Amino acid sequence: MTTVIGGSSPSITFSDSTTQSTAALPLTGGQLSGNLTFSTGTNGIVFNNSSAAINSTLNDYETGTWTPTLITDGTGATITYSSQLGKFTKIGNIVYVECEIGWTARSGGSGNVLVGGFPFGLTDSAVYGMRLGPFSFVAGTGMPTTPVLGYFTTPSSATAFYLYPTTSNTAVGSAAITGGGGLAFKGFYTCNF
Amino acid sequence: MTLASTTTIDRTEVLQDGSIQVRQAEIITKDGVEIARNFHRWVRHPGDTEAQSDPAPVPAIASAVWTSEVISAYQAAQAKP
Repeated sequence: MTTVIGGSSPSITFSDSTTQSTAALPLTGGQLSGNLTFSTGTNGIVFNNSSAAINSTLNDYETGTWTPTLITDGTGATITYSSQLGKFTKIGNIVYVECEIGWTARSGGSGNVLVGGFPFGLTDSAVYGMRLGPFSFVAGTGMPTTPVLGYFTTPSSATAFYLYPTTSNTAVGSAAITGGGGLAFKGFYTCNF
Repeated sequence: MTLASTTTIDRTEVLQDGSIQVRQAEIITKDGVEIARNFHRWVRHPGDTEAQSDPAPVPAIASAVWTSEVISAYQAAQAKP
């Protein structure tokens, strides 16, 4: 490792003769002007607080968008949307999501309704029946008047959840998607990757 | 000054049950130099017909990974309330 602070080409250089000749973190005005990039998806920052490095490694950060959808677990429905807005921030295996979804009409469809399209699959080790919510906004003539939770019934890589009123063990049926309505929520869950 | 935008699938991750996590990058360039990159994500589960309409390489990955055994195992694992 070579550290050169100052001069015409300030840099911090890590050398590894077996895999690369030079990797540098350039400095400009005393601050890093490059990115610290890891070569594989499993590498990251290892915090020295555990002998189990795999559980102490921060190896992912990402922000982006996703497209929330309404789906049914019976026959398919055709939904006319007025808005489909989703954002996410992933830190390690935690996915923080924001969602706003609005609709003006539904045709066809049977069974219960789910919100789908999540950006990452739910982790295999998540507690069965993990809930997300309650939602900050629920509107629509057919929607429950009590607070609503999102309910992942299948733990492995699920990307959609059922809607449950907090006062009932009965999932919201597709008939609730009628006329105009909307849902909005923020929350987080754990993912596999 | 020329601004341009291109989209590409820059990352795919195949989960243990065969689900494919897809990341699409929108790359903004100014005079040929990247100045911004935005991500949009979705997931395709074994048997999802929409995967065949996704940009490359998602259809090829789905065809390679989603054997009838993988699809059957995934569908069997799904629970309804």
